[in-house]
Amino acid sequence: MEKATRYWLTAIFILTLVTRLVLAFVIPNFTYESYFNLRQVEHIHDTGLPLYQDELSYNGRESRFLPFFHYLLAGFSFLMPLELVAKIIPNIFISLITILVYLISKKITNNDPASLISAFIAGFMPVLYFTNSFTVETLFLPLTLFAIYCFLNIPERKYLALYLVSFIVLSLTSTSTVLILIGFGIYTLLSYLEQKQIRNEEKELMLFSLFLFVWLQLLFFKKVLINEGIEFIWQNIPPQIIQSYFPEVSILQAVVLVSVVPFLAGLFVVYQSLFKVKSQRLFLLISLVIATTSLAWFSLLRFNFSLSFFGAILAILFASFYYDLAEYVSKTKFPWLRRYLLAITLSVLILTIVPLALSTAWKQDTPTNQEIAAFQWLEKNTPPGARVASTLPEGHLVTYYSKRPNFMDDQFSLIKNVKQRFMDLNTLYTTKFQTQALNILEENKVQYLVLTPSAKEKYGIEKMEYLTQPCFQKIYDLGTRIYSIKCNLEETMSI
Amino acid sequence: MNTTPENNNKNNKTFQKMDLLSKYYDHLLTHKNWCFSLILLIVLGMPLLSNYWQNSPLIMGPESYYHLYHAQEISWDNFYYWPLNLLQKALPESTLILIPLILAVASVLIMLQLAKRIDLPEKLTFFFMALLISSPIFIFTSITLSAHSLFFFLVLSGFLLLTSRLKVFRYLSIILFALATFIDTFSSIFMLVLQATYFYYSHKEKVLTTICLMVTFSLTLFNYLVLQLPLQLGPFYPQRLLPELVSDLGGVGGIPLFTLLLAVIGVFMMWKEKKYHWTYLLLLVGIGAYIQNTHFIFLLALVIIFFATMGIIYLFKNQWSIETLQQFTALILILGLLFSTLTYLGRITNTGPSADEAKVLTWLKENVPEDQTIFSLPESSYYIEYFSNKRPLFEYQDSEREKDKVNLTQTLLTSTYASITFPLLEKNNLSMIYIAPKIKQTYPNDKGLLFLLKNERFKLVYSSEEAEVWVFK
Repeated sequence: MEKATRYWLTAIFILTLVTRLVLAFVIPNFTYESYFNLRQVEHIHDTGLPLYQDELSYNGRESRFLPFFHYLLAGFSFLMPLELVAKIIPNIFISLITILVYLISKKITNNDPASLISAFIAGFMPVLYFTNSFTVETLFLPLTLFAIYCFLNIPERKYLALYLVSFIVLSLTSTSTVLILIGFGIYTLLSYLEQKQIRNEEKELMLFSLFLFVWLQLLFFKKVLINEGIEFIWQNIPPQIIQSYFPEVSILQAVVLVSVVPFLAGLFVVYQSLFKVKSQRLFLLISLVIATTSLAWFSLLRFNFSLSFFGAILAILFASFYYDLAEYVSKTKFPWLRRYLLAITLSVLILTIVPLALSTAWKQDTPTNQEIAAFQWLEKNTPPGARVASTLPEGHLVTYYSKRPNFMDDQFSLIKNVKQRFMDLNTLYTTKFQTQALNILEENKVQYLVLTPSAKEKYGIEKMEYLTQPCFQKIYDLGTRIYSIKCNLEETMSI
Repeated sequence: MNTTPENNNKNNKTFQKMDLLSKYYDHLLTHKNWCFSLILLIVLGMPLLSNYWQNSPLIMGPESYYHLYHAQEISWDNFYYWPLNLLQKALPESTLILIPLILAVASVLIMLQLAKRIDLPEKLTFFFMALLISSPIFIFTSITLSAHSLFFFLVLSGFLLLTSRLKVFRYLSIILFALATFIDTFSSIFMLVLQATYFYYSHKEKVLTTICLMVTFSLTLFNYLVLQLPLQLGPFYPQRLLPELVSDLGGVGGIPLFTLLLAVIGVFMMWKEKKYHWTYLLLLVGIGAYIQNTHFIFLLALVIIFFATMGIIYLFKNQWSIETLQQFTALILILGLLFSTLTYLGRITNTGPSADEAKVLTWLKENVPEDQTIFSLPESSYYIEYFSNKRPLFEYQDSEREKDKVNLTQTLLTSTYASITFPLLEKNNLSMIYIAPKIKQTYPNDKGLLFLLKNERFKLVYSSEEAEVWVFK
């Protein structure tokens, strides 16, 4: 790599990282689902084991997940406080995407400016701007790109070993690794249709990857697979909210989140590669795009996640587009335009991508400090083991900050009657009838009820009508209200 | 499918290059009979021992009790149950478990003999047998009174006789094939395809070919039209296409996921070889029958396992560019298949009936009038029939025909309102309710029928652990 390129790449990486870290620290707290992972990391830090038997979630349940991400972050938590780790390390991981996108783009185009532009796009892709998200995807995405890069360099022994290591780690990080396998399958099919030979090493690696992945998933998710069968894919999400996890694929939303320029450029490159140039290297990337899109279309992969991956691949494909564009301009009557092409492209990208990225970061759904304070108050002022009802996303705040059993949270796997439970939770926040609410609270042994400003906004309510004395005593009221349940329902005498 | 000894040697040499596993493979190949016997002993013995220690009935599965019940009384329209009827009268009930075990062991021995006779390559036989014996569906079929285990035995015996040098034996095979047509229509069609393929490739005597095929075809038609044998027996379990196919997804039988993956590889690789195109026809027939009724899984599994065997042979016939990767892939395959089988063995003993269920249902036989209809889960219908000698609301395999009774069952189990449940119970004259342990596992006790049992109109008359009998007054 040339010195100048190295400097520019480092600059892009640092710019991306600094922007992300600034946003991560300016925006308070973490996204709701992050608190589940925080708790897991904390538990591994304390005991060395993941929390597969959770006494607090759903008032006691078994859970299963792949623990590599949590173990890795737990290792970092010995060096610095956990909340600092959770803000810094995931953002470092995501920022590494810039370097990986550069490397893959360079491999495909062998052109530094094009690859640097791709790196810049990846660094500011709006859909990747979840700066306060402490989730597995922050490790999964860069690791997947690393695995792809190693796969593209397979004839070299060093990369073979690196690919194997990265794939094993991926299989222990997220079940979404199946995306790579499906991508491989489509890649094989495309190569066969275009009568292009796949190297023996690639075939062997793909087969090995398939069997290794399946075996590891069977080991970890044996019980989930037996109980839930193929519906394991949809993670036992209640049917009432499954649309929010697997919404219908919206082209407009996709264009906005990955930004219009990379989207259109990506379409162009896909068309060129499939029907004109037929570059086998691009086949692999295009196969991954097809895999991601298909899985999202058939509601087999969460839309947001598939869009993140899609965005990263589009960033890489942009290099090919830019390279082709530069070559084309050179051959036109205005070859002098080529000198300004980089500046023009960068300007367009900065104007279209950066504001969207910052806007996406600002729109992250995080609890306020005030809400967190309420949950922390619960820990100090309620008996241990007292069950607390809150909205679905806030369930993790109950277990993480309040250290109390929650009514429900978004880890639905292996939970029985999840549909009914979700209905009950909604009823608690929407019913006007005290008897109905007390019935649900009593059945589920709930002793405290939390009403945050976020809950009010979500349900479009200012207050809950039935929360009156003597059955509901308000014990906390600083924006967020906490109620203690004082009544039981009794059977009336039959006449 | 015939290979020369030279080819066999060449292929075996290729396998020997895999240093890590090759010496074990050679050893297993040499002692394959012992190897298969040991595997059989373990996979068949474990569930039975487990049931024995728990004092549960050794005979498991609703299909077993379906056959036992229907064999109790012989008439012209179920005369094919006569051998089972004889055995039921001659032997104690617990010893009837020997029937499927003997059929399984005999089938394995016949398969090995047949493979030798038709000169199947050793490694094809070895891998096919290993995959078959360790597959959950074979294990389940071999420890329950399954019509398919008898069918498998009869067809294998028929082909063994058909490949005999003696003309008498070859003609005797027609009898065995004829007996095999008394299972169900789809199985007979499956057998017809096998026979037609065999005769096409082996160019046997025209007379024998004609008689054999005509007898099979005619009996199939006769059994379907006159005796009214079903298109397919069962189903005896809720029909879930994927879980019943892949045992790792919680099905009662099925094949391991790894076997399915290997079969997919085999399907793609074998397409180039014309001599195997007949197996694709068999696969299509199998898939069609399976979609119609998941009870066909055993026969479909045989075809899938064949493709999986070819998949293994394709994967390991040549040395890979990355040798270590080949060894690790082989290791993962072995571990994966082992894992699936062991996981299955760990849960198969919950198939039922448990000792408590048998006890409660036997109580029903002795304490409830004969004409009483018993309400329970449809899956328990066969246990109710056999142990209590009473009529269930409907037999599970009649679910398609008795849709109104299926809906009635669902309503009764889930309705929490006495105003809905009580009139339905009265109208359908359902005063005896058998609460199987599965009902308590599936339905919440604060809703539906389990909640309504607290009403004074219900009275618990007998129970044993989780199994209960309630009377509705």
